[in-house]
Amino acid sequence: MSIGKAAAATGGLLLAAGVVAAWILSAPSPGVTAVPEGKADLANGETLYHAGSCLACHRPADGAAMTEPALPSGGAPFKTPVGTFFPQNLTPDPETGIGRWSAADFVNAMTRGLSPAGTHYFPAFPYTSYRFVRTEDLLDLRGYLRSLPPVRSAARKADVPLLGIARRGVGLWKRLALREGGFRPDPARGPAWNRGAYLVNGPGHCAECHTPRNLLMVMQPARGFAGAKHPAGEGQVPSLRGLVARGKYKDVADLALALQNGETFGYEHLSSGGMAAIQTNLGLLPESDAGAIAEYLASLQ
Amino acid sequence: MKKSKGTILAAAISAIALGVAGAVSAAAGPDPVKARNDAMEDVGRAFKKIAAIAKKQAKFDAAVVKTNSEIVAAKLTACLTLFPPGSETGSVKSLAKPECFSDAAGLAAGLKASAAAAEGLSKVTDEAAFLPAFKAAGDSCKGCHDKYRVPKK
Ligand code: HEC
Ligand code: HEC
Ligand code: HEC
Repeated sequence: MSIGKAAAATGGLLLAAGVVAAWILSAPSPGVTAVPEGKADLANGETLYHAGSCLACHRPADGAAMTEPALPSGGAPFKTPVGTFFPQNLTPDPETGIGRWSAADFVNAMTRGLSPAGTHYFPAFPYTSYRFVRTEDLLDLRGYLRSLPPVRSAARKADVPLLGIARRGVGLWKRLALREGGFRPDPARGPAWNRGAYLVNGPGHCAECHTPRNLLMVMQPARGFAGAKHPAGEGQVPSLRGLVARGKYKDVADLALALQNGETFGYEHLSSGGMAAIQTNLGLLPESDAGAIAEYLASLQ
Repeated sequence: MKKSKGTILAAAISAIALGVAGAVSAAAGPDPVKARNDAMEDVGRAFKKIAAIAKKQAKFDAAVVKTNSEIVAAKLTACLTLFPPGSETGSVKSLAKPECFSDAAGLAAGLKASAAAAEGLSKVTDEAAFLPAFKAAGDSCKGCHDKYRVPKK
């Protein structure tokens, strides 16, 4: 056997080994199988629903028949650099929504990006942040979704090239992206700051747009909220560091008012690039939560 | 040597021609990107004076509301001619999304609706009617920037 042939054979073997390794590494690891369930606190569930801006992505397509724009029956296109998604129906319709999902199915989707069938969701669904939401809160959120009127609206398949293989590839990416630990309460800070930190880093998924990513699209916690390229290519997302120190907002109370009312109240730079929907949802939170978010944001330097 | 002299001459002629062309286009009207940015900045400044009332940083004053919402309505109406095709870029950075040009009718409808909301606000004389009219105007800014503007930074 010539050296060239040997090299080719070795290369081929390595490649095959690589493919096998990738296939193994990308396999979805089993999620949780059972979650203790109590009676859901629907008011808390609603707060999480707004904090997470679920409706922003899971809204029905404009003018879709038999849907209600205020209900998350899904179907509106959500464009990303990998393709267009049509985020699914979150109402409790048993056929087309999540009516038949167990509590464990829901927790696996939200915290591990795993579907009930065991496939990977794309991180266009921001489970990269939702995984920091406490299980009790997830169960209240599930309870709230189950309390909504069911809407029949079948999901449209995502328009992503090589969808099946690409989903498997997400498994490799998750090994890098879901490694970093995220939010941990800081006992040195007060309850409002900690509440704000939780809402921003968990349900609020603010880092998804405001934190820069590396070449593999993994968020860089060391540069948390320092501003980033817009994930869907709409220019630059501004930094959330030093918002009060830089004089963008007069004080914490002014920032809280801005989060609640946005450009409707003459504040600037709270509408473009998807921020309008987020801000609208923040406006639906209890006032104390808007204040907590403002307190946490103002502390970011 | 001869050739390079010719090249220099040609370059000089085209530079003059370009200079003339530049002068002509400047005379035809200022850069629309700069003009619409200035107009929008004026809209923003005027709207903030009214917003101070909504934020309870200033007392309700119908005259302040009237003067400033008339500026908002006039400047938004002026913007109707400031998004001509081909004005994606200009002397200043434009935040206009491609949709401003691919959906010019939608943009125009948005500008008209926002100007109408500002006109409605200008007619408010009592405090009770102020907040709803103010919010209607503010929502129109937010809705359009959501669809037609990219973030600044
Ligand atoms: C930024 C957009 C975005 C937001 C915000 C968002 N989702 Fe999603 N969600 C998606 C996308 C995209 C998918 C589909 C992912 C895929 O197909 O790989 C999805 C899928 C899901 C699924 C799986 C549905 C199914 O039938 O398989 C659930 C459950 C879900 N989201 C719940 C939520 C909840 C609850 C919230 C709010 C806390 C939320 N999502 C907020 C984009 C979003
Ligand atoms: C979908 C991407 C996205 C998400 C998610 C997001 N933001 Fe933003 N945010 C933006 C963009 C884009 C802008 C700039 C908007 C503009 O210029 O009109 C912005 C602007 C802001 C500003 C104004 C900054 C300034 O300089 O005045 C604040 C404050 C803010 N966001 C807070 C938040 C908070 C809090 C969250 C989480 C609850 C959040 N954002 C989640 C994209 C996002
Ligand atoms: C129908 C669409 C539309 C409406 C309505 C609208 N705007 Fe704008 N606005 C734009 C566009 C597009 C730009 C970006 C123009 C450019 O850069 O070329 C802009 C830019 C701005 C800017 C400059 C942003 C910057 O920092 O450079 C301000 C301030 C502004 N708008 C305020 C307002 C206010 C306040 C209102 C409501 C009273 C309003 N706009 C209504 C479309 C609109």
